[in-house]
Amino acid sequence: MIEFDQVTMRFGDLTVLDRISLAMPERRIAVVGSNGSGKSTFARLLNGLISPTEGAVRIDGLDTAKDARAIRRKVGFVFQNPDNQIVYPLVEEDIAFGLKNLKLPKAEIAARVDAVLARYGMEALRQRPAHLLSGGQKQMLALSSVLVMEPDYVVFDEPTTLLDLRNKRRVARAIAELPQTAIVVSHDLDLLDDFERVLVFDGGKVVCDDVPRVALRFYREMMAPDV
Amino acid sequence: MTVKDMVYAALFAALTAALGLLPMVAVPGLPVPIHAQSLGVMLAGGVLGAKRGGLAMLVFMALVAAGLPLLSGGRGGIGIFLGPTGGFALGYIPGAFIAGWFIERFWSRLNFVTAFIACAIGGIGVVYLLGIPWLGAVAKIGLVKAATGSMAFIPGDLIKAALGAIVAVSMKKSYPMIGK
Amino acid sequence: MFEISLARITWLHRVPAGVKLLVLAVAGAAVFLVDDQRALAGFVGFAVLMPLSAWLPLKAVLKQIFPAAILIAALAAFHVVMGEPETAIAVSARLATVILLAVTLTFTTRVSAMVDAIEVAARPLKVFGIDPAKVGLTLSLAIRFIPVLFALVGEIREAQKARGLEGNVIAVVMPLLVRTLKMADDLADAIAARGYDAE
Repeated sequence: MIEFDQVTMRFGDLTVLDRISLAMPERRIAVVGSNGSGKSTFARLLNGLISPTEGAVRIDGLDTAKDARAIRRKVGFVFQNPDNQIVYPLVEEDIAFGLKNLKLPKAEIAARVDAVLARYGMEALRQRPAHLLSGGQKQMLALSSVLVMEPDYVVFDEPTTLLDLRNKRRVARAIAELPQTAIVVSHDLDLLDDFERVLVFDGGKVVCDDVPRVALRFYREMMAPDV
Repeated sequence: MTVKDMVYAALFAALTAALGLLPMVAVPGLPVPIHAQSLGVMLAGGVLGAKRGGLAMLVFMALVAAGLPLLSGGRGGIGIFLGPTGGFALGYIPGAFIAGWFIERFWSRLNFVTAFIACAIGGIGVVYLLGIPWLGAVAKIGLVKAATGSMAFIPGDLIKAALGAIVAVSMKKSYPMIGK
Repeated sequence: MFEISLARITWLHRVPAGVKLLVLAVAGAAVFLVDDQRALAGFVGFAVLMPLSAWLPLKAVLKQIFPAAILIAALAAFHVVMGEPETAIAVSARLATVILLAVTLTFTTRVSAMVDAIEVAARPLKVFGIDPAKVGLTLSLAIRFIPVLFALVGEIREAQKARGLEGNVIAVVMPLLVRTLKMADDLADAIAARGYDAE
């Protein structure tokens, strides 16, 4: 379970999140909001990439600010731009990177890399240089590199923004099929219909927190251009 | 070395390689055209500072030595460092460090003039300080001849130092990296 | 990808990178210590034989050694004009030896093998607090991002061309730097998020 306890986040004078308190036992959580609404900051708090100025973020009882190492194992993070998160030149090297950080034995690393490549039909790409992959393949690589670490939670920060429709659907299906809890920050509202809970952010606050049918309508109306 | 040190060094090494794609600029009155790539020394030092700038050039040169054809014209390999001009290539590493060191010293009053001095000392002075004796010794032509022969490149390098200074000053305003 | 071609696999390709580096270092140092012309001829012979025995593609080799060859010729001519033909022979023999051997090493060794060799060579640096694994990761990151930066330069040049700024170095370099620094922030986050611990 994810808990936000009176979380405030400030960068200098700018308050990006303002006293957020939430308890989220759901398995499919979506986060929407305009640019600068605080949703990316919210996502980054979840695996301790940043720590709150005030308050605490807890995942299954672990404080993200204090138990950084355990949190990184528990919570995976997929970023918007796959190009900026692929670390190694070759596909299989990149997938193995997180596993090496977990200090797993060589045989297990090899077995897990094989399994995730097979899971997403990417066996043929194993020795391919990452820069020769298509945009969709790159995002699937980024996703595989995180999932191979077997986290309990996966945070996605706008995972489909840079993709074409076919690849958006491919990534959306991969997210839908995950056994893990997924927290997805997205502008692609049509991908969020099957989620259990949608948070709408505005000006550093959660202004709506409901099932998709209600929350997405609220968000569409909030974002309607002024007439 | 922090993750940030590693990332900045790696990306500026890659950036220096990418500068090799820019066409050479022929400047009227100069005997040799200007390669944008050697701007990399001044950009690395001028934007990242001493430690990260020096590391970036070290990474770039290590990749060249490892055999990536990253130098303008698609050249690479360890032979670059063993030939008569190897000292200039090696000089890029302390050159970026020293340029960055001066940029850090001048940081609070960084303007075109101080940035130009930093780029010129690091990107020209230090590079030639290694390159000229190396050329003289390896080619057996002696210091004086090596120095005179290298003078043809000074005007182009001064223009590069000026470009490096302009960039360092505007980057300080838009994306300051020193002390970050 | 960007490797200086490995046209076909020969016995030299199979020699470990570390051994080839060692031979280059020893031969490179030795050739500068001998003055005897017969010994120098022996070194040059050895250096010519190596690329031939590895069946290196002649055209690609010439492209790599061309600038050095011009410089060596100029230096030799200079020494001849100064009335020192022996120096001309010694200087060009030494430089030719070193450059031919180095080019052979480059053409017969994968970049990944060289990076591994650098990582091994960096092991003694541990006493200065330099972690060889970090050296390897940094080099891999740079190799990974070279094509990304190449694409970025192309993209920015297109954009500036549309605005009539294609010849302006600063108009290309400034956005290139800003986007690279932004990319660096994302990448550092991505590395941390995948559990990399710099300690």
